[in-house]
Amino acid sequence: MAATETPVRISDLVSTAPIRAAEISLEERQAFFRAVEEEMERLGFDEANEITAASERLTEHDFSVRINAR
Amino acid sequence: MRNPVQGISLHAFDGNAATLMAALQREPINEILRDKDPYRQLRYIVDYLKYPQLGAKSYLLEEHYVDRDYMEDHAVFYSRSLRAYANYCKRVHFFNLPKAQVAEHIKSAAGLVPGADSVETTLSKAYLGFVVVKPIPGAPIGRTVLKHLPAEKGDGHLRSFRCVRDYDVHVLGLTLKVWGLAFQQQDEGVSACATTAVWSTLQKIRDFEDIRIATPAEITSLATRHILPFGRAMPSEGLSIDQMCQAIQALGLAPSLYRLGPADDLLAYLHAAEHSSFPCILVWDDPDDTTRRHAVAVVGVKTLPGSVVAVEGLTDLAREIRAIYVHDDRIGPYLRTDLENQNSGIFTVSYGNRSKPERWRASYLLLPVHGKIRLSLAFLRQASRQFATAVRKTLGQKDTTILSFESFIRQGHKYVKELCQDSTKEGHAGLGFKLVAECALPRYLGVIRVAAGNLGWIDLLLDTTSTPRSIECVAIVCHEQTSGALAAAASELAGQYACKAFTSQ
Repeated sequence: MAATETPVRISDLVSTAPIRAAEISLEERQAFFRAVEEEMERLGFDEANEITAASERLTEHDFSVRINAR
Repeated sequence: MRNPVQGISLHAFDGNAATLMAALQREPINEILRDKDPYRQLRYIVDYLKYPQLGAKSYLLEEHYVDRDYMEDHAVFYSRSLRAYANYCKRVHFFNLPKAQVAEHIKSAAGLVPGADSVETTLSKAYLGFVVVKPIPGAPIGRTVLKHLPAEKGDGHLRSFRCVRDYDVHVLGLTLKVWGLAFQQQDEGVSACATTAVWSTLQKIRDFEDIRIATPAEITSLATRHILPFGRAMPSEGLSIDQMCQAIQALGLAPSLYRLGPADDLLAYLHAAEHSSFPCILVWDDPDDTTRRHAVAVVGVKTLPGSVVAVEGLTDLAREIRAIYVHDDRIGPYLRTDLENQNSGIFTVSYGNRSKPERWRASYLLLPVHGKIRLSLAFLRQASRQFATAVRKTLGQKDTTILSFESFIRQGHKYVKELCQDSTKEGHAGLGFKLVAECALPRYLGVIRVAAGNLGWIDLLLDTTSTPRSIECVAIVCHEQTSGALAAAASELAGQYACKAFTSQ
């Protein structure tokens, strides 16, 4: 019968634990992101994000653009 | 049949293109050539090598060099011409050491003088790269890899060339190294500007994935395999964006395309691509004739650190960009093109004897990426605005620290390696180790970084294999010098973003 090997966990060798995350309820999280959204609106980031999103909404015309400089 | 004869000669570099052309023994230019100046790229390269930071002083000329890219062009195109084009090229290697010193090092390499072991190291330090010269009268400049300019500009500006890679160069039994990105001019036989721009950007992919680098002829063939909207494939009559995407897709990569509107997003995409070490293709149009378009490969950026005014305590690092360095096949490698202003998206090109600078408006940005990178630069840009706002909010209104934000993509293992190097340097060992021991990392991470000047930074790591609708936050990583405010914010944000957080404290 083979000897049972005891594996060593890396976390037993070196402390790898993450920091304690704040305990936040679902309601608190929703409230936080609502507040972030309101702040983004105030900063003009929501409008900027709309423009950014539009840069990915491509049409057939975009793909048909010919590059022809010599 | 006798074997080809090699001839290698060492010359002094006098900064005169005519001397170099004489040494290359080029045939006189045919007056019926459409391009009356096929050597302007060579003249640009000579001017570039004269920069004091590079300071070329000598060059080595190889008479017989077999270049993979040209051999392929020859096989599919030039071998079928009436004229018997040679299937080999010449290659010129440049050094910033005088001819006599290079001669001494070569003698050492040949075993005639002691100290041969250090020859490769010494010559590599003095090596400025090479130019392949093709036997095509109208398009002589083939694969060219030159060393890029140094980071410090001396006037407060910084140059950044994360998109280059190292090339091993074999000559005289020596292996020399050069850091750069390959450039070549379009020949209008197998390639146009769009082809060479794709070819240059694909050079860097070897640093990330085991994907064979395609030759210009292969790129043109793949681009024109299914669609031919503008006539024949070869001689090349230019490509559409669709065809460029087809070629990139056929080579096993994903084409990520953005239509450029306001300069804000243009700068953000350029910053993100460069910071991710991804060369990208910029499609320009002529503001005075929008049917005239050109493609260049972006290989570096020039920034003015600290130049961006904070708005509501937030600064967008991308707005520090003042110019970009491009491989423009009409002119040469590492061509600096200045942003006309921060809001226009227009670049100006001043090289040559033009009475006024050329103006080009950036209209599209095309980025070849690994298929596992499903998150776009546009999404990362949007996420960076949200995360910067979230960090600001978490720190509280009383905290007046200016926060900067940026986004980029990094291979998982490279991110950890950089973290380990940073942690060791700053005396906070283990941050990278903690992350990799506790979290399964994707091949590529989307990184949103919010920094508080010299105090430290917080990274939100996103799994790039996820999608915007089902986004996965891998972890929050905080690197802080002293105060503890950022670490406290990281703990709070870990709760809000429902992921683990690691700090250097």
